[in-house]
Amino acid sequence: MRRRGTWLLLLPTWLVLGMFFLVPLVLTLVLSLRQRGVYGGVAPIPDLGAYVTSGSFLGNYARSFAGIYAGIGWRSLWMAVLTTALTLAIGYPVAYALALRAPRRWKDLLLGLVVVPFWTSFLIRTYAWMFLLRTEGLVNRLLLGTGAVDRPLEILYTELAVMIGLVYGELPFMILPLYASLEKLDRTLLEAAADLGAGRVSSFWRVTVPLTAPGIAAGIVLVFIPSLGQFVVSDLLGGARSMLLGNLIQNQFAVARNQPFGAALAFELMAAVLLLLLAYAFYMKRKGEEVLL
Amino acid sequence: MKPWILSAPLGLLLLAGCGAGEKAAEAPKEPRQLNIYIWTNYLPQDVLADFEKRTGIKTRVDTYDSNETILAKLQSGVADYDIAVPSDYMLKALISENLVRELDRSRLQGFENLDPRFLNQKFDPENRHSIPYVWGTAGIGYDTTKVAAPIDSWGALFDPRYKGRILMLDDAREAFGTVLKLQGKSLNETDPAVLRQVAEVLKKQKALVRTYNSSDFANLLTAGDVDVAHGWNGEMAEAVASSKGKLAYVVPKEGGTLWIDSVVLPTSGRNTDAAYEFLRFVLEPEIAARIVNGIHYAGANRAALPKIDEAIRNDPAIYPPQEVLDRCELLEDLGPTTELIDELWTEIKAAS
Repeated sequence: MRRRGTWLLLLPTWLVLGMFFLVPLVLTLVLSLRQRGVYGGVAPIPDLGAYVTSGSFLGNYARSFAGIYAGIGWRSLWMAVLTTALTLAIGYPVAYALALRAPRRWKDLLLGLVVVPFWTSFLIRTYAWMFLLRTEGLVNRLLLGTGAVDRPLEILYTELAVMIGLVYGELPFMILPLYASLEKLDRTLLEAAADLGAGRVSSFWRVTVPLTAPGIAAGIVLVFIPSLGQFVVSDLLGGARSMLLGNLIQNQFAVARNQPFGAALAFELMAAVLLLLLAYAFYMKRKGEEVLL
Repeated sequence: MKPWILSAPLGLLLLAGCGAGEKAAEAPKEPRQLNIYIWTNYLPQDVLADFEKRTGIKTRVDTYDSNETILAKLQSGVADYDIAVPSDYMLKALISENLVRELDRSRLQGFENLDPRFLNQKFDPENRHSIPYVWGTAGIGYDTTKVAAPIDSWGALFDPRYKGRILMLDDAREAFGTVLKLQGKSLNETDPAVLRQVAEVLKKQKALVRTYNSSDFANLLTAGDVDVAHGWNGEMAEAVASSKGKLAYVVPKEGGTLWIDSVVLPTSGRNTDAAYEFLRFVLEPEIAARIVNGIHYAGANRAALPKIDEAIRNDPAIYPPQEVLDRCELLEDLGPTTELIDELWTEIKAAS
């Protein structure tokens, strides 16, 4: 009796998971095993047996490991790692100042300012960066005007511009979980560390950082995963020149009309993300912490 | 007798009847919808507003910047656009994939206003599915103050002197076209060996290209982000006209693309009546002229010509002289080769 009740209560969860996660996942998998038709769509399979035994059904996966596409995979991974490292390096001091140094009456306002950019569409904010970074843009006019440079810097449509856009976009997702865990920090422990003779640097590395590790882990996951699949930033700020995995996938569906290949790439990306999430969950469990996601 | 007591229920009934009657009359008046899928910068806002005001139809406009996107969107089966505006070669593909409707000529007015030069083309014989909307060329727009001599060849897009100052259309067929024309070949080359070799040239060119862009090319040229830009004539001509002689547009001597964009009714659209109203609307010479005046692309409506601004009508970049048209070529649907081009273009864009 109790058992059936539990099942009924779980039903909505299963329905949502099934409809929005499992079904699309299976559809993507099936699509990824087929081949495109001449104009797009999928080509009919004349002989299923031969299709399977010849290994053709893995053709899209094999293609995805070819030099050029594997290269894009590595570059996307590298950009995502770099984005995560930079947001952490910038976000930690900001969150630290917000949680532990800011006067109480300023705190809410400052925290609000971190969130305010979300009120504007990310696309529009990315366009704003284009106006800032372009050859005759605000940044260059400022630099030229003050004599800091004698010819305009070419920032827009470079990897640097993509990096700026990525770090800018993901920063709040790093600051917020860090803030949450720094806010919870038991300050008496810092006093105890000082009493026991730890200097400021030593108590930061040996007390503050380990205690906020769950926030750091959550921030890393929240930043790393979206930056791995980004395509808007590299399209607009990178000038559609340097492709990331997200662009390659989007391109296969929207322009090249090779849906099966796009599905295979998407599936691989999902598998990578899933592995990362499992590692995160495992880490949090071992620390005996609640999994934040 | 108190007649009003008797009449009261009657009155109520009458009132109720009126109410029902009103409702029945109002039902078809609920705002009709028209979903338009069209190139960026292709439909002036005031023209669209007039269409809504006159017909009471609510429009929703989505835009794209490549023919390939139209095919992908219509093929997906989830889009329900009532109007789309593909170019020549893509129109042919849409017809062969059964993605567009056959037009009922009896529901159109003003078909005879169209310029016969753009009718009955190979991509849609007898215009059974389409009405030509605007036409133009692809060429090069450039900043005369930043280049040594006037540009007259596609070679400029491959010139190392302009490294980092070149913009290419983010469009497979147009990009392949520049190299094919440079090599004196047809835009519609289908030999895989030739196409592969063209793809290698485009991969090498990537080091010189600042950005690939099909929706904003003229603005980037105006803003000074690039000096030499591959692009379509209308937006280029507009940029040139407002640049006070700083910018120029040329159809290279090797020849370029001539394109004709046509209005079609996708089969997935559900508001066919509203779509026909839209077709009749854009066929009116007055409206056709306002569209040309707004978007600076040449119209296919002959009767509209006298109503078009003189500056636009006489701009050789918009209405090119015959000798320019003579060296231009229409893109054709390449059939099975489409797949190879898609794949090679992916490789080019993916190359680092």
